[in-house]
Amino acid sequence: MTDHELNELKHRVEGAHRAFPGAYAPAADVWQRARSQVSSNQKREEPIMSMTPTYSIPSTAGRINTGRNSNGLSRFVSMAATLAIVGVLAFGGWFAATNLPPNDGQQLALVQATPTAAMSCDVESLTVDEVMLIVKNPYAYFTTYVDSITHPQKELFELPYRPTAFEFEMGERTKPAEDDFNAALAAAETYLDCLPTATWGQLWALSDPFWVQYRILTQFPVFATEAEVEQYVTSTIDQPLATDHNPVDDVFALLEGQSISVNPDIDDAKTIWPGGWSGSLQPIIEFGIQVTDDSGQIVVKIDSEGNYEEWQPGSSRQRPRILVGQSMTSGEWFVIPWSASFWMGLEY
Amino acid sequence: MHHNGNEEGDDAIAIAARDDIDAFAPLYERYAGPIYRWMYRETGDVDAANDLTAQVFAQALQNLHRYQPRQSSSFRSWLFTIARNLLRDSWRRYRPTSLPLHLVDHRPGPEDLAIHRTEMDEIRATFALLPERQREIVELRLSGLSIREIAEIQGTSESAVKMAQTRAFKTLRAHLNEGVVR
Repeated sequence: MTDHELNELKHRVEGAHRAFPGAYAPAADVWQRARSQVSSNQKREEPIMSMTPTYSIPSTAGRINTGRNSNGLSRFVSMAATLAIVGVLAFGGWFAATNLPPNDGQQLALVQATPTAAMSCDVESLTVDEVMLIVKNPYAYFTTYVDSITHPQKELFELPYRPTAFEFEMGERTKPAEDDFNAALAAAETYLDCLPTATWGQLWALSDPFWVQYRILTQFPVFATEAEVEQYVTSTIDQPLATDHNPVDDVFALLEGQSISVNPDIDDAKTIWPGGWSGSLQPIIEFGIQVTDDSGQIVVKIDSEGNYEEWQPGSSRQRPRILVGQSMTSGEWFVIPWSASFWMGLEY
Repeated sequence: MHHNGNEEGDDAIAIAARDDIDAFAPLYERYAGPIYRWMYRETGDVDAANDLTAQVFAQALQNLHRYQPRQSSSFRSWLFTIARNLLRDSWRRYRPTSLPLHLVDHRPGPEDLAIHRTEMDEIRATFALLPERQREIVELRLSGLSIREIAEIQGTSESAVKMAQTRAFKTLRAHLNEGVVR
């Protein structure tokens, strides 16, 4: 882009603002409103947890010492099937209308109200230190799992503070490789099985670190101190997922008498975003879901693009999907939870 | 970082305003417009944009004691970081109202107003096509920030910002009308 292009765009944008009443400058009282909000007793001396690169993160060497990171890349490749992580895409919300509270426009995640015996969660929770590391720099979190980083954007892993940067590019959707599909499917199933009984620490362990950072920081106003964040993490990490706070976007919808599972047909899954996700996850595989009733009949079955393969009258008309990505450095599979607030650039 | 005159002046004003809020007024005059317009493009709503702008400056005033002028940073990047964070935090409350390109609003009114209203909608809808990071880069560039300042705000390298900016403008060229971004 040249300066000329930028100036031309500026000119047009400013012109559009000037032409529309109220769109160019703030109202006359905005300064006074800002001024009046200032209270001298709100000053705090602690460092802040913001998106500004003001942090020196603690060295990861020797600090995080759990079984999860002790054996480097090979361990995490082999762990893909057991610790794999999946994201629920509640894109537009999805629910069985007769069982769920009114949809007020918020996103809904699907979780079974009564877990079956097969639904348990033995995923190792993250520690508070691990979560704090993610909050400070998700990339640095990845580096705890590998002996050396050969990532083409190595610099991203070494920055003192890495703010959230969700980046991907659309591209051709392709059929996933069978090995990737199987690992990602196992991850997706682990995630769905975990949701009804998981703690937040377990959920975070199954989720894309970028989403974990985003989710935690957005619990606060613009600024939060490191102590405040750590206090929140400490108080939350062992708590079960509350019914009024889902991991996707604040509403935890429960299904009664129906089972949710991942659409297991490889022809219904797709590898998306060939450029990866935020320079950290690749490949990314998107699954549809299926819902079965008490009799075992599939009442809803959706492919990765949201197309219905099965739909019984009275069932949901929404189209949830599940997104799973593999760490480009550790080989671990992570959920990329999908919500309107997370996908700021898309939800228009 | 090479500070220009304004940026050096910014630091002095910001430091003075720690003890006297009214001393901050010149910084408000300088940056309220760009921030407001960014908020307006994001929200499409005058009231929401005014509210967000007031919050940005309230946060800045409340946190002035945390601002430490450094060679590698600027007051401007610090202030726009606050705006960016607040925008993210407020997203759920101020959901964008821009329309897809094929649903551009053609509300009645004076002809020129209608034309520009459509143009604003088109700009906003086109910006909405960009991934978040790319859109931030475009918005911050429109607000006058340098590549380096944006790299500071996004916590990434200048080369990464340049690359994302190139991609963003490629998208904008493809979707905005011919002659807008050639």
